[in-house]
Amino acid sequence: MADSDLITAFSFEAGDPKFSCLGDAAILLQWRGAETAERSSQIASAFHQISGSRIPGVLAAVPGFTSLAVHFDPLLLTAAELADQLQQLLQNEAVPSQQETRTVCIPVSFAAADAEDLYDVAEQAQMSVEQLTALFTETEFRVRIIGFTPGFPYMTGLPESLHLPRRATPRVRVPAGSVAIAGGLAGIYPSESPGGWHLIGRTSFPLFDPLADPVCQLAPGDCVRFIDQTNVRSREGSL
Amino acid sequence: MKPARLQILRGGLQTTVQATPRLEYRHLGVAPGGAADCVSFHQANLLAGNAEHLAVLEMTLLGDEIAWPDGAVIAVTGADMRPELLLPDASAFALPQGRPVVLPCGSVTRFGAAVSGCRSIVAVAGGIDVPVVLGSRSTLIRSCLGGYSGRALQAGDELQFRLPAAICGLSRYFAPDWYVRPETLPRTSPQPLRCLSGAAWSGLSQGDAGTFLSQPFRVRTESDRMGARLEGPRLQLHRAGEQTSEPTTPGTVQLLPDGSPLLLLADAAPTGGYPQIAHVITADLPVAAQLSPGDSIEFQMVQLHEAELEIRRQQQGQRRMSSMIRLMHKACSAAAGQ
Repeated sequence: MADSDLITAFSFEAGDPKFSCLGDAAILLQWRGAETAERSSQIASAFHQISGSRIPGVLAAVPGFTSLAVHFDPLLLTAAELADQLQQLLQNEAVPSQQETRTVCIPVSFAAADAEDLYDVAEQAQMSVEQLTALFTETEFRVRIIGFTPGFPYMTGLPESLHLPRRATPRVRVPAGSVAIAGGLAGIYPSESPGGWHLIGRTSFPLFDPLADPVCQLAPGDCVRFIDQTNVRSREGSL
Repeated sequence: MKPARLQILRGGLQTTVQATPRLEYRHLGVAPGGAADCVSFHQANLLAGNAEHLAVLEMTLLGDEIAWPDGAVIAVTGADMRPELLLPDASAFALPQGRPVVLPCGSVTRFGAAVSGCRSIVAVAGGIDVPVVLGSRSTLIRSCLGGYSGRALQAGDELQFRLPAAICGLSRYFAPDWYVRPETLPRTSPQPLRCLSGAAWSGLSQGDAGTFLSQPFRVRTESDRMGARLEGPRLQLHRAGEQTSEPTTPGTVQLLPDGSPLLLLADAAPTGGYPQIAHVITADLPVAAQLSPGDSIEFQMVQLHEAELEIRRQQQGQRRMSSMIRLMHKACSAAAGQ
């Protein structure tokens, strides 16, 4: 097909990760392998290595589910130069990162007023609300990426019985702090925004504050456990 | 430096304070943002006598009416909104664009609807003074972050800027007769937007790939700083990939489920789940930022080295222009000193 010469740019197809161009101001690193937990830790470790490397001209590293983008200033270096430097950097990876996995506990209220879709979800999953909340709080979630809006964590680990397609009609306004699920994922809306996920709880845990340090409380690789504080909330009025 | 203010008398369609993008927070879901058309942004600042990155006003499609009680030196670039200047003595005339303009105390500027381009930049000598949030003064409307209270300006808003001492207390209107020719500023052009292939490009059939590169697309009204929604021939991927959230960049062309392309602009989220068929090159992003609803655009595929060459060529052109502007400023102040 004629577009073979339109698939521009260099790419190191053979390696793992595979390098390709994300436009002319970013390089995309894509890892092979279907085993998601392993791939996720490879991406997280490359993210830390590249962000810590201070390669001149590199502006940001951004993880996705299966890839990592390295944004750069095309006036300071070319994609090919950067790809060389990144390859060298990632080869030095010999030392496995000793970083311990953090577990962050997030209080959540499943009170009816805080969980608009809880009953619907329970019905669709053919379980009681109590079973659903117990299952949810027993689960260990893993933050894969932060995206969509500032501080929104995409978390994997949702039990298969709770995998549901997104709502047919997205809500125009999802309240800040909403704990939500869609597909195989769980997430938390840090601020009010539109959204198509099912809302099953609410938290007052501060996820993103531009004036705080760090600005974002969760990072890719973190483990998350939800703690049921429904009754605490209803007794004290607020969480 | 003396604190000075400007007052919004009538708000435009969407006027925000914009400056540099937020580069370091993309892994936390923060859109880069910043002035959508960075060439007009840099030029407006240089013309106003500023460093090229100070905070400016970015007006969209319909501009504002602004009062300048303390006077100012401003420069307007980008979209042509046929701005008018009303002087304290009640005389009114067209506000010259593409050059520094001295506004005496009590002037009013009135911007109308854009007759070409989409976004007008108004730079003010001294720069608009809003707090730096996450390393930038730019407004990110969707996240209520930065700029003036994280939102678009409305009638009644009052913004501060630091009037350089040299131009305090000016009582007389002045604009030099030199200016940057509008043709040198990016605007909607009949030339196609140049792009590189994206990860999902090979998932298009040969016919659809050919369609994307030969048929015009129209910019829909639902477009904003996050992206330009396009309509035209519907495209289809014969290989539907995994729909996971992956990194994007301003310029990325995503294919929406209904088969229409979405061209991401400055305020797009750093990751997205739609297949990416192409990426508009960095050198053409200022042109993309000036697309208005109803405009027709075409895409052209180029090689990476052409994109690399083009951004360097553009940078050289801007350097030449900024030295010219600095020289003209010097000549002006020398003349004023005599």
